[in-house]
Amino acid sequence: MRLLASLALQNLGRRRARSFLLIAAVALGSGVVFTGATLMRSIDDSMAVGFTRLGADMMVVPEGALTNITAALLTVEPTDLVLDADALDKAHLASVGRAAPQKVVRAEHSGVGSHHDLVDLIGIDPARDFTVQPWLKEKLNRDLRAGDVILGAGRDGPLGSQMLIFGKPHIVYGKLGRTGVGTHERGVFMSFETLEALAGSMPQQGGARPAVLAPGKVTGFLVELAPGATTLQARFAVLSAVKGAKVVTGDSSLSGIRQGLAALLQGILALMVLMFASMAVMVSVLFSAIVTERRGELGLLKAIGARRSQMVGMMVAEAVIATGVGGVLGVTLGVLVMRLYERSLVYYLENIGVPFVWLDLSRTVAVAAAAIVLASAIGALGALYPAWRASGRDAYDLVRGEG
Amino acid sequence: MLACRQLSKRYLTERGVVAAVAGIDLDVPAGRFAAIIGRSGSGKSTLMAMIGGLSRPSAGTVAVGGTDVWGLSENALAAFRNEKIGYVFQFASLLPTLRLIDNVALPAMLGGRRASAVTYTRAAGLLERMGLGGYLEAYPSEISAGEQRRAAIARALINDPALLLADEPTSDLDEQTEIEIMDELLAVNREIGTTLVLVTHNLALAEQAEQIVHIANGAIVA
Repeated sequence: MRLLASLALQNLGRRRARSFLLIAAVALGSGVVFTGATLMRSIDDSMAVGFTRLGADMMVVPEGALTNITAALLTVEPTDLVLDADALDKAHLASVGRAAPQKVVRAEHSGVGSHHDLVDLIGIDPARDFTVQPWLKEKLNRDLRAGDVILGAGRDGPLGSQMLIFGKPHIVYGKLGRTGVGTHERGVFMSFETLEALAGSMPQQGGARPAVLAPGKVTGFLVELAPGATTLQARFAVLSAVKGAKVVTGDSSLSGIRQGLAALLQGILALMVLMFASMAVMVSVLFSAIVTERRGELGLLKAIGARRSQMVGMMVAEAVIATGVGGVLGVTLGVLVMRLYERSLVYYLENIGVPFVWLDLSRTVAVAAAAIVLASAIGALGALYPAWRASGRDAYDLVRGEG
Repeated sequence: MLACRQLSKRYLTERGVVAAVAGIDLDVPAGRFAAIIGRSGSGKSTLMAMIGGLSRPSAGTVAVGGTDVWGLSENALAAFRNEKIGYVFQFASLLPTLRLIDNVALPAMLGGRRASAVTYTRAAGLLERMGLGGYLEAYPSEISAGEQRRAAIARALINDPALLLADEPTSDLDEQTEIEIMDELLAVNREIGTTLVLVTHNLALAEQAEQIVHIANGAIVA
């Protein structure tokens, strides 16, 4: 009802200092929740990119294959030996978190680079890859598809331009940032499908095409450990489950840092939930006191015929308006804080090459809306019980300030 | 119009059970002006609150126009208070954040039986009648205590109640204002025919009533 809503608004205006403090407290709380949630998600995403850029924890290749162990990044080297593409999937190893299969073919006279340039053509499964795509420095505004190639940092070619490989046209989809690792710098990356489609155009070497171009075969797997698993556990698990495989491990300290920071992030998230819960309790206590103070007014309303639902509705509307405004102000405050954060810490991180991935706009808007709705819900819930309790008392007791 | 039977109200206090009203039987015919008198603490206001549907009796019944007030459901009781009973308190009872016209219109707006425009026209007419036609837009803090009390009477009349209950409506007013307020209440009783029950400890005021009920220690003594 309009009059009750206006009464609720006027009540807020009448007690300006208290309303201001309430709105400020909710604004602060919801601002922290909004900023915290957005930054946490952004940090989470950034960590995901950052950690995957650190590469895999270990590599599974055919026994006898040459391997290139680089301090920074594990990469699969071209070899004639192959593994089955579903070897790790079939083994169902608990210690293996993610496994990205790769097909690597070193080709000559491909048309890429100078005439005798040896080019590593690397096939990836875009849905499972976690070691190549995080290094994408620039890309077309769409998903990778058949016929697309990604160039290592050491190769030239504008985005969207055509590149002939063995005479077949391909589109430059993206370019990787500098990794300092040869394969990544010089490689030309593409989907399995695109690589396999080149088989027919590739001149046969020694009477046969590379075995890895056959469907269902891969050069090796880059593996990320499951949370809590050690390289030793995974190594034994893989060796016992996959016949003819060799396991090469990277820097184990990176795995520890990855797992430790992920746990820390979960801990911070739990703290935020706790803070949010304490804000809810604080607002409830505050509204309980407000309802107690307003017993006379509620009694008067009841005496002139207000129904219980109308009285509760008025109190809840008042609470929702105050906490909703607090929520909106909090989100605004949060946006300002994040702008500040972007101009300082994020700018610094990006300058030193550490990627910071902001939450995309739609998810940020969703978090903002959730923060405002939660703030309003806290107000509604905080006012609901004391208002319901008070409205059930005798009007006479309320008017006399009892009950 | 009003029939109370064995009406009682007991409170549990630290000193034990206290009977504020003890087994009162009271009848007030329609259109009559009845005054309830007694000393402070005699149980007058508690009796009035039970009659007005504001305080649930510990025992006994209250019937207004044949309706068992305390037999009604919560929502029905709210509607009954809204439609059938006008209540004037012994203190300034206007909502400070609403204009006088809004305060007077509020019970009708809560009931929602009339269109808003009709309600506001009637509220303006009642304030006019109470001599407050120039203060429709004023807030309670901008008018005197006597004017506030007159506005409260206008509010009590907005839904044409069958029963007007006034609980010491002139308690903190000067003599002249007291006379003016009483004149207004009497006019409502005589001109509109609304049954009026007035609680007072002022015998001079009570003498104007057609029926006087004297209460002491929660019981009728005369």
